[in-house]
Amino acid sequence: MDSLQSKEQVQAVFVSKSKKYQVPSAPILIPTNLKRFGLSEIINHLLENEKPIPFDFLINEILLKSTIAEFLQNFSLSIENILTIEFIESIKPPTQKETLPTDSWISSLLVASNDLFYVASYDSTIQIWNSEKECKAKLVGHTGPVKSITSLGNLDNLSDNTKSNQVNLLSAGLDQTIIGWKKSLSSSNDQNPDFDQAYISYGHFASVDDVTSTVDNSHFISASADSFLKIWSTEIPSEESQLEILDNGIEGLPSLNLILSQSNAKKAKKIKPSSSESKQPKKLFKTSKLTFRGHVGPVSSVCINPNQENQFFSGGADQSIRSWDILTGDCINTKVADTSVLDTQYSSLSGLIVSGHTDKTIRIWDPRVEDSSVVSTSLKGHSSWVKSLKWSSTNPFMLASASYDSSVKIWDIRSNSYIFSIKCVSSKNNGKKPKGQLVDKLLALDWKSNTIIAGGESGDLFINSF
Amino acid sequence: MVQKLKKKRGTPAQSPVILKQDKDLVLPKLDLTLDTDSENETTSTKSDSDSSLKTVNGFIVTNNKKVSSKPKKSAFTKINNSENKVSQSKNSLASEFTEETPQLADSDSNTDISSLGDSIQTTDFEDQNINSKMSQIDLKREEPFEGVYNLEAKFLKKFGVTKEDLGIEPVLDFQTWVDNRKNLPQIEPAYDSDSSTESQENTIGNVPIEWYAEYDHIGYSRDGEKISKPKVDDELDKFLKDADDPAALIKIRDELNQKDIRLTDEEIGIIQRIQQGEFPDATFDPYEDSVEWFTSKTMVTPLTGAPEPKSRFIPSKWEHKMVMRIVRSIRNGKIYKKPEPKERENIYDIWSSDLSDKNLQNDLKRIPPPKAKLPEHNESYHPPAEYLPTEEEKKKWLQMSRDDRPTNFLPKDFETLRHVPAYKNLFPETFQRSLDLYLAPRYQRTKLNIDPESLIPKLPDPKELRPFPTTKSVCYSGHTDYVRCLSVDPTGVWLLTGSEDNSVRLFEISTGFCLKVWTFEDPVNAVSWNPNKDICMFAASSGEKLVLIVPKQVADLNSLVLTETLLKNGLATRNVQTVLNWDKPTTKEQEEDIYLTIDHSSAINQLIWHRKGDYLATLCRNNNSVHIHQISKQTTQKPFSKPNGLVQRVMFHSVKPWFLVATQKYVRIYDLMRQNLVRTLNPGAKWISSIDIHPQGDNIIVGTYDKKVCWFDLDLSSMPYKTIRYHEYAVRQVCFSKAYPLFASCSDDGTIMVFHNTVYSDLMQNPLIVPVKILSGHDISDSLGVLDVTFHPTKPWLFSCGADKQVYLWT
Repeated sequence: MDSLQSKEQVQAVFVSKSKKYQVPSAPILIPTNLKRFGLSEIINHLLENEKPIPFDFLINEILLKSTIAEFLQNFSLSIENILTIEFIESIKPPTQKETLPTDSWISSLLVASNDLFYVASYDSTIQIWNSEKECKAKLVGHTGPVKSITSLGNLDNLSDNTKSNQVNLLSAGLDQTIIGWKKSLSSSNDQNPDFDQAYISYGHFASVDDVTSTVDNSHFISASADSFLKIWSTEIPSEESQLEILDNGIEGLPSLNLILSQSNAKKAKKIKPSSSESKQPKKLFKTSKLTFRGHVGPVSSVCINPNQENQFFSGGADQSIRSWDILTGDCINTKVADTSVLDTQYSSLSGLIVSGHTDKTIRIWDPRVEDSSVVSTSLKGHSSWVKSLKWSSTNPFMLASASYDSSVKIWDIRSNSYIFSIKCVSSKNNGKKPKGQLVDKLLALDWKSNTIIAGGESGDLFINSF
Repeated sequence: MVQKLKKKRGTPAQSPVILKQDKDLVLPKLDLTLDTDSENETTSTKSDSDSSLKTVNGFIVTNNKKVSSKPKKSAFTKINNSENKVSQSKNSLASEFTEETPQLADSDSNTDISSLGDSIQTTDFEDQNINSKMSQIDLKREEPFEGVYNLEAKFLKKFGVTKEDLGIEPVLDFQTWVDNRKNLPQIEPAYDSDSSTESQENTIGNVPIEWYAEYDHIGYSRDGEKISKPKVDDELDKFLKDADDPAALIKIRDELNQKDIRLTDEEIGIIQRIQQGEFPDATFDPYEDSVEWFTSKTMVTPLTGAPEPKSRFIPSKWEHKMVMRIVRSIRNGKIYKKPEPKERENIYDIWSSDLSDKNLQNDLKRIPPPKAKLPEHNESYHPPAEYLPTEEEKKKWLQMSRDDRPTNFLPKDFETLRHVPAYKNLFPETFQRSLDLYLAPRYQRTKLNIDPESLIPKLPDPKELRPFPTTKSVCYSGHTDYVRCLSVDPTGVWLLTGSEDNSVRLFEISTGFCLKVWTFEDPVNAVSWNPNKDICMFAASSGEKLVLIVPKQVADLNSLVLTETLLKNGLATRNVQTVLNWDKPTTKEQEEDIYLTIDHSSAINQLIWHRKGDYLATLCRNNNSVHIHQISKQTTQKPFSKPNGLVQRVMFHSVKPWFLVATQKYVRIYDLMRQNLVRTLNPGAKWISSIDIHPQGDNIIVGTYDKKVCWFDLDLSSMPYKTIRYHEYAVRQVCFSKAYPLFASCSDDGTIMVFHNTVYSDLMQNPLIVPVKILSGHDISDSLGVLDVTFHPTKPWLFSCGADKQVYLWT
């Protein structure tokens, strides 16, 4: 039987979307017991590559992970028909480059460049690290743990006037504020950046869990545990507006004096007064432009749709993913999942939303579909909550996820299971974890070009690269 | 007797019946003649009398018909005359007393014709006897008779009677009858005179007839002449004669007269009755009622006039002595009742196939004996080759222990049956078989064909009841000793834990980050968030101190302001005369956000907020006191001056103004408005550990230290609707989920059980409780397991803390 099976063959046509690799379109008889590696050899042979290039193969848009025979059996395809196999250059597994130990839990991460990372930490600071394990700067401003940071991206194409009015970094914190940071004039060097607090935004009644800027960087949207989303302009407010605020107070909040006294009191405990007094620049306050009401529980994440300026998405603990219209402030569409949403990300390449949930699954939604409960795909593989997600900026099918099971997994949504799993275990207390206690949670993830960084409970920043 | 006679004498003319008797007297004589010798010409009974013809006719015909009872009668009287005399006399007496029957005064026994005329006057006692004898016959004669008019003259002539005699023709006169009467044969006047009228003349008397065997004669006539022997037929002739004569069988030989006598039917009847051992007289009734001469009934005139003898009234001395002797010997134990021998139990062979005894059949069903194994090929003396063991198998068999061997023998081959030796194992095997029978079950178990699955109540599949917590998701670490209590803030973002390491920790639920630690001087036994969402405050108990803390880190600015004003206002309106002192915190404490402290004189075991967040109840188990604090007025009340029993838990009702107090064995519900006891629940437990109320307020769960969780439906009764016994050790805490139909119980066995409970709004439908999940993950340390559990206010999440210093979130 084995011999018979091994002789089983199927006609296949290899195609590729990239023009670099062109193979004859005539069907080739291939044995069905071949796996990815065997097929890859065939392609390399066809391309007459001297140095073999690893390929991955897609049959009917599904990634081949087993032998062809098993694949055919699983999807009940006939071996009589001609198989069309698409081959793509396979991605090399990421390698864990290094870990940067920080003092506290990492809540949010940002890859500024290949060797510059912004780390939002639970010790209420934002740290800027380079790949040489050097902490370049520590941004102090929040009076509670920082929950989210976002950079406003490239501002180079803006005029100098507007540029001077823009902030470069936004951070949201558990102290219910969002702080806009501006690159300090002293640090013109990209490798050695430093930021000054430009303004502080009041308006939320609870911890602000996520912040993101719109496409044109003119506004940013914040998501808070008080179930509201707010949109703010990124501009540094003028002095006049400050007076107005001081006079009128902030809508829905007690008087400003009280807030100031409160925050000063908090700060007084955190930082020694002597040092802070001198450094403290004049505070600028910011108020929100619009509030989006609809969620019935904490809103955990917000993401924008780069293709459609007026739309953004949010996910919350009320198990819903909502899409909003910026102009009207209305909730356009609500999609309901089975469990709480911890993170949402929109891919401009594929136009899909991916959400991480407390039931260990990653769900992929199509926002263009009106139906409220259609999940395109569920990706299962994590053994705990999926806290953070990031789409690949180049590949429309790939995404990375960080979970409480202390692993980062890289997925191809064409395949049911993950492609790579990176174990991010801290070297600090490796194996010393008390019995019964869970592993260190991963809370944050960022993926830019070849670099994937992740961090969490252990305080270590795990840097991986392809 | 005298009376009767008097009567008779006194009333001769009174009754024609008696008069008639004169004539009738003759008639029995007629009978006699008829009986003894039918051949005899009876002189006609010429009834000259004026008596009715019918009577006469009747007599005649009766005699004819009934043949004759006379000889029998006489024979009978001969046999047992003495016996019958009494009864007969009785009869006569009776008849005379009653005077029912018309008397035929004289019988044939007074055969003396001469005395006929006087017979009426006869007073002889014996006569009366015979009279009575006859009366029986007379009764018979009175039977209706119908054959009178059929009589033929020829037949009548035989009797010497004509039709005229019978009254059909003119009647003869008396004189004629007397004349004719002389023709009748002479009647012997002897007492027993039946046979004496016979013509025989042999007078030898009662001597054996053999004496005359050698002579030609057989005797002598009355005249002394020899009576010659009649010619004796030889046997052949006799036989032939008998053959011809149909009556030969009923003839007997009269040796004395050398005659054959034919037996009458009556005689045959007598013989037959004697043979059968009956009374010869067919008419004799041996069982007739006796006449009590000496009865208990005292007659007016007793039979004897003698007074009762004295002896009748004196107790017998000798009898007394006899009785006393018996009594003494009974007392001395010489005479005693022997114990009845115990009946032996019925022993029967239960294996026997026929239980013929009916009782046994009723009692027992037949139990078939366990079947003995049938012999197989390998037991043959000459088994087929494949059954013979190889050397290895033999070795193996021998090495095996006796009990493990598949067979108790090794197959052996013998050429012929002759070579088979005596079987050694007969007795062991018989013994084994007996053991089998002995050890076999003696009763038949009736197996019910019930699918065990069907007996389990149908519960919905736990999968359908999702969501409920299933896995450990987040761990909140940091405590260094038992974590005693936990509390989730009403928005569901923050978690507070209190521990024996004197600290309270504030965690972010979603990440497990510990935001703040408050450290006190004593172990923290209870911690509880204020359930009011507008106020950001929690209460914690450290030893004897209750502290109210406003956590500024997590406070929303609005609620922070609100809380502070509330506390300030409370301070302003404070009633100084409260049960306990509300203290202002020290500056150091103020830095730690502690706003108020209340010093209880005893360690606080439990803290519970009213759902509106203004009242706070504290329980001190050591001095068994319950306090209710009001935050807005900063006052303390003591609702129970002396609680009824040791209070274990207190609780505010979730809807009504009720207050629940769980003592060791009972849960009492008090109405705080009306200040009375609403009801008492009895969970039937020895020691209650915890209670919780369903958010809708109609159901209560009670956890006990004796491993039980009791569900009470307040609409039903004061006894538990359901008692759940799944935990292996004491139940520490029970709690309902506010958002989902779930409740959980935690125990010292380190597990948390999650139940799904559906409470129907329909009053008729009882709550449905389904166990859905056992969460095990806490370690047991010092035989303490999970100490507290609580549900997330909006999600199907469960928090638990235990003696293993860990706090977990289950999702």
